[in-house]
Amino acid sequence: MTFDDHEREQLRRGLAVLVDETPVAPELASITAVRVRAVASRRRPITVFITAGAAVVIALGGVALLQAGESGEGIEGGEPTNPTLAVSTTAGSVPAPSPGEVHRVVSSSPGWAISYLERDGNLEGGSGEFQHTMIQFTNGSNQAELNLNVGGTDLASLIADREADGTRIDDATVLGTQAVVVRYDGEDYYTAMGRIGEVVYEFVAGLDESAFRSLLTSLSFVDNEEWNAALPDTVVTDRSQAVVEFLADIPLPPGFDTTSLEVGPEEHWYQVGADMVGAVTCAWIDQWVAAKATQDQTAIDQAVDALGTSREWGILTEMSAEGDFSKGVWEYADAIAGDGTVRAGMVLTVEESYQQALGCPSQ
Amino acid sequence: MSLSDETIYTKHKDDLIRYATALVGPADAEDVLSTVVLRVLERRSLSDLDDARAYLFRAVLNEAHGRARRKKPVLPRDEPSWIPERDHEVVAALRRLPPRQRAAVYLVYWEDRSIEETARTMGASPGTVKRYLHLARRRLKGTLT
Repeated sequence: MTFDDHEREQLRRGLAVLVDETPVAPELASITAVRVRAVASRRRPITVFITAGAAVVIALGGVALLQAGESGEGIEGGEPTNPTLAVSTTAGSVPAPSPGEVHRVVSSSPGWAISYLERDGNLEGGSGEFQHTMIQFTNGSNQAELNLNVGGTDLASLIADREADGTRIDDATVLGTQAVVVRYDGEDYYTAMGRIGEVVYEFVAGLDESAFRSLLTSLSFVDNEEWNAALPDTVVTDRSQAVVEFLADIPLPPGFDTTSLEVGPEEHWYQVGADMVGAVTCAWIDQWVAAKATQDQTAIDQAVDALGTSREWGILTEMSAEGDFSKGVWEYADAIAGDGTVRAGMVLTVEESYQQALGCPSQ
Repeated sequence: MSLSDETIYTKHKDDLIRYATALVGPADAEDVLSTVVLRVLERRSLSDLDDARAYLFRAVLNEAHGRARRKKPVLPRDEPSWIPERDHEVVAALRRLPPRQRAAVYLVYWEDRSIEETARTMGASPGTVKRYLHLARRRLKGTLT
């Protein structure tokens, strides 16, 4: 399939429009002024994992929630006016989820399964800090995404933003709450937004309306057991086991306590690996910094030797295919074995940069 | 920052910001470019790269691709008045192309790059570039009159 000259000309005019408002490129000095970037962005995996073979969870029982509209307090021009969790329990249902549990959502729609999970805390939102959970679902050929924000998101603003690009259509019931549904103009792409207690959610998918609404009704809360069973293998649900597996070939500093690493939310293995390897690496560099100050050559050598094996750490090798965190560790391993500096747009000492660069626990 | 970093970046920055604009739009282009340049410089000097231009173009595309995964789709909007009505649909269709298809179309039809050059710039094989172009053409064909 090729374009004739006339079509090419049309295409070039279209491309000219795309780049017509190109801004002035920033100067390099202004870019490098940022220096070391926060580790949060470095840790984020580049690849989205899709496990098409993941089991489909058929929700059993589930939570029956009274939606706002049932009590006569519907959505008028904006967000639901009574979006609280008014729980009507049914036999076998799980308790109303707390903000810390509200992410345990599965789909009972045949063929659909969770493919990816991401959880972030203490992010800067428009209205302050929030905790964000993103669950991706797939049926092998289509994707849908549920975003849950605890605090920091104004539902009315979110709805207004989406309506700017689309058309509001009939509301839907999502997880027992009343949701505003917007169809993006000219697209089979829909979003449903609402609130569950202090959690604002948005469910988006590129499906036709019937399939989208069907998927909405298939969502339900589940208990922890069902939730863990619904997660793909790429998500770590047992951090204690992960500590054993991930740190198996990694030398630990004297007195290093892994207890704190055994606690945390279920997360993609990459994020868990970054947490664990980061903590160990930071501890070794802590030792190196302290030993350097006291001229304790034995302790210095011990840290250098330990991090010198980091290119052989299995978890880092696996992580290197997904993101840059491994490179960061190796960069610091080389630095303490070398002249004690790293390049971050400019030369930085290990001492002044490692905690921020590696996201050390004290940061 | 070494002088060579400055020299190399200055040489390519206009092409890079235009490329970023084509992929993510003018509002996010500067942030995309800043993000990738900073990320590269945290690791190495631009002078260490065999082909800094291609490397940076790939980094911009990867960043654009990553962002697109999270964002709502790019949708038709009111175009500037100087754009003929007949071109509105083409522009809208271009905006809807996934980043990698749009990158291939941009490099081939705007920068007049060969398939091989485009493949090198995108970090893909020539066959993959052809596939991107085929998919893009199929999506665009109906809007070109």
